[in-house]
Amino acid sequence: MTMAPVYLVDDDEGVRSALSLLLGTYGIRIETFGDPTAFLARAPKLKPGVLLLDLRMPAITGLQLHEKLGAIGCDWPTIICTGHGDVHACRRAFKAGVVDFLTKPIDEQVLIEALQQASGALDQQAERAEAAQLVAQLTDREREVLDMVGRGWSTREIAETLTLSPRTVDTHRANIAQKLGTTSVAEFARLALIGQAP
Amino acid sequence: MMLTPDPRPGSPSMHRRLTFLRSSAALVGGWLLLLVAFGLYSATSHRQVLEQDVSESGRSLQRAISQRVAQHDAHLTSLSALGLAQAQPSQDFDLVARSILRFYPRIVAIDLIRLSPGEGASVVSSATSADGSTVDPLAVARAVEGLASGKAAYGPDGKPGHYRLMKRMNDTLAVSLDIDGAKLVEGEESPRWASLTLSTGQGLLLGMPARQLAASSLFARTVRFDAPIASATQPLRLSVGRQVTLPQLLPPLPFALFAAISLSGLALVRSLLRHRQDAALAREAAEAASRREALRQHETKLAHALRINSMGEMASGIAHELTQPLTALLSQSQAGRRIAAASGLQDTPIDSVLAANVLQAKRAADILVRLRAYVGKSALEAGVHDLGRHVADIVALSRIDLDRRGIVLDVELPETPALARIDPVEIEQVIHNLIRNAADAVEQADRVDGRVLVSLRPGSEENFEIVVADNGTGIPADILPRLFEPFFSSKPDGMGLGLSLCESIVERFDGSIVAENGVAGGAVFTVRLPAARTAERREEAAE
Repeated sequence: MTMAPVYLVDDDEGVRSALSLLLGTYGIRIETFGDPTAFLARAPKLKPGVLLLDLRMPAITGLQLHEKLGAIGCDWPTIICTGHGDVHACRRAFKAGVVDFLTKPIDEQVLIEALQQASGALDQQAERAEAAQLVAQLTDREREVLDMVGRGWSTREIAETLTLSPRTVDTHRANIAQKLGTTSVAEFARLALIGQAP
Repeated sequence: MMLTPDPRPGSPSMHRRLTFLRSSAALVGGWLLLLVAFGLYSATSHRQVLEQDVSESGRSLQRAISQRVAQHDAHLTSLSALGLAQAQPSQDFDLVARSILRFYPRIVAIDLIRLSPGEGASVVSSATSADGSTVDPLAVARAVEGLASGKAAYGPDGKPGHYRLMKRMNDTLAVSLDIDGAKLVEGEESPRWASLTLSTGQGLLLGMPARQLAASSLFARTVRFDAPIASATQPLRLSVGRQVTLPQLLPPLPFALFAAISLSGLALVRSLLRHRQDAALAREAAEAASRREALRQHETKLAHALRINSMGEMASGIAHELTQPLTALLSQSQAGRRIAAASGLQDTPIDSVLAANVLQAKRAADILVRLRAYVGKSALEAGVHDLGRHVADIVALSRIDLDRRGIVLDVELPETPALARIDPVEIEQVIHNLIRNAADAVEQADRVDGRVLVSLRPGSEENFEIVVADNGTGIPADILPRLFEPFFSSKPDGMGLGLSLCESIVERFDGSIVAENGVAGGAVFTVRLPAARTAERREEAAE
């Protein structure tokens, strides 16, 4: 599995270079930022990745940064790390929707696992976005048909339920297959499930 | 408890009133006033009694005299009947006249007069007592001239205090009685204190001084009874007088008693008032002392909490500071081991050294975790409380210090309670810290009109804002981003834990703290705390 790029925001130079070095040995692309505000400005131009944010930074906390990034559409999986093993901060971090909360110093194993999980979450996010994009091309009626196909209904059953002729339903299925780029019923079911999420 | 630095309103005026009553002038003035009132009352009531006495005695004397003068008419009638029954005046008339004189000493002479028209008059018979003398017949004739038979006339007598009553019997005879006024009014009906006068239409007939004179002539006034004697023949008028003096109106013994009792009563009231005032003063002093004691205890509690919290903040600050290099050390070492492995240097001494580094870094991290756990153990005692109350308490506490430093401390509180889930001691520390910082900033700016404003108000969302603003020089732009960092201080002797602690505390209650520079200069710190939810407010009500 390929790892998504990691964006580390930490005001400590030592931490930045050490983690760069460590993640580099795993072949993980990592970009580091010492200034949260500068990162906030850069983020929209970056490729989606995993965010590794220090909780305590001057001027703005990791959590506040996470919120601001979310507000500008960079709602990427976020890991908060902190020197304080602070229960309150941890609780608030999870409330704010971060995927993990790590206590410094972070052990290699723990960090890699958390990053892999976050990277997986990012993939899912992308997959979902892609599916949603495909499903969005369908007409309302085609979406209805896709939904029923996904449930494993036959053309005859769909035609009866929608009071259409089986031929019309087949036409719809052909259009759907063309728009989604697949004829597999299993793929239909997957796209119907993740692409129709609100 | 609620700390109120202002004394209760109204008490100073109460004190002035009490102090006024305490003065000797007021005591003496009040006493004199009482004496005058008593004197007036005594004089009025005694005078009334005396007046009644005089008029009662006068009336009974008047009745007695009226009866006596009526007897004179009866004597005249019987004497004239006796005189007419005989052609010649006999010894009988004389006998009766004498017995009348004997029984009625006020009648001093009885004369029978013959009237001869044109040639004068003569005495036919005359009976006189020791004080009496025979009348001038011509005077009688003149008095009865023109009177019908059987009619009587009143006339003066030559002797002072005497008068005459004369009656025409027929054309040729008249009878005359000489009456001594002094004896007429004498008798047991006449009180010893009375001065008596008898007068007629022509003037004073008789004036008798009182037999018993008043003991003193001080403030002497005369009370009078004045009434006519009921008689058709003798037009007399009686006047009874009584001299009234001050001792009678104002008996000295009761007055002296009253004076003594009222003076001691007033003195007693005064001492009671003084006692009460002293008690009030003592109570006030005790209350002030207890207020001071409450403030002091509060201060001690805050200072204690601050020490504990500062220790925690320091440990957590140290932990944070050490954590960063430890993170670098651990990650570098782990990276180093991976690089060594990739270079085929696995299980070489260099790898062992890096492995040892990893172990030691983790060990150091464990120590920090234990340190943090130890100092962070203090349990959070959060409950639903009114922020306004605690802001007011801290303002009262800080006012003492700021007053001494000549800095004005203003406070703006909402009228309704601002309920939030907090630990009062912790939040009070935050406000106390911010007020102290503001005062320091004002002092550093060398302002003479130094002012710190603390206000509590509902925030934009479901939260409350506690704003502490000063009119110092504000926060320099390069310091502003690092203001809440532990061990970062702009004060030469500062540890840099105060604001860091404030932030830690506020965040513990899901709040936030922001520092900025005010529009008019000076620093503005805003603490935002979430408002208690409805269910939590009920909890407060139940507490």
